[in-house]
Amino acid sequence: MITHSTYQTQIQMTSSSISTSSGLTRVFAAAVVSRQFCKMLLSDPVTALQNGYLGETFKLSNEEHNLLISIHAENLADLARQVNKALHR
Amino acid sequence: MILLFAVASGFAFGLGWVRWLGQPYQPPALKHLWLVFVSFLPQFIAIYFPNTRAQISDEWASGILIASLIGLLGFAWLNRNLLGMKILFVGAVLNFTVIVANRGFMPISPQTASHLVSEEIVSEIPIGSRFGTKDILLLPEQTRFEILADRFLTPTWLNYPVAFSLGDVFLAIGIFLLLAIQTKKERDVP
Repeated sequence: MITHSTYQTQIQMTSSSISTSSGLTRVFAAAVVSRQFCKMLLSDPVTALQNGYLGETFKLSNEEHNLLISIHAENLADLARQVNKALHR
Repeated sequence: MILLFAVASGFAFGLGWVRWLGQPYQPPALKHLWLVFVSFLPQFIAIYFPNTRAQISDEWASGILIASLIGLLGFAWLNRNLLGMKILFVGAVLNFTVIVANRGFMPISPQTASHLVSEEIVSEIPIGSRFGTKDILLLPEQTRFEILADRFLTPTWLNYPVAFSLGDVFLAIGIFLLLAIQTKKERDVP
């Protein structure tokens, strides 16, 4: 059994990202499905973005790239919240 | 949610029934309750608790989930004499079967998953990846015992989409009977 609330946070973060960038959407989608990538994104975002996911790199604008590597988030929800906040300023 | 509903409605029904008869509520006399805690604790650490979940690989998580289910099956078997527990046991066996047959996680199809999250997100998730806590995204044709997978959905008017399996239905019925009718049986014992 699985409920939609499992992904509630992720829906919120991706829905705001979709309108901004498919690259950001892909970063968060990769973080959702891969705990290893998520962990690296939170601890070492520079390497995580450089390595990409499943052999695919992320197409991010400089602003998005700089934003992701400058945020120090405790978890994915926190990262999404901070990205969302920054992009809607 | 379906299991929570079964617990709440079973308890409420049982409580209402004995109150109507003017007698105290008798909870089911469960044996070896410690087995539930011992079985569920590793599952909680590996699957639900965010801080530890991130440290455990999918392979270990599936192994822990299976071991945990074996423990819970043992608990249900040891209490099989209680009304409802046999149905609960059948539900647990069905879920255990489909999980073991599908890489240690409960399979869910992209079509069903798209009712829980947007299709755009589902399309980003590779087939064979974990989905949520205990599920794995698999195409129906790749799924063994597909009829036992998380393939049923709550009605749309509920506005709270939940995907559940046939095993979950048995589990819910078993839990309801255990909490609602057991009290009546025990009350009838002189």
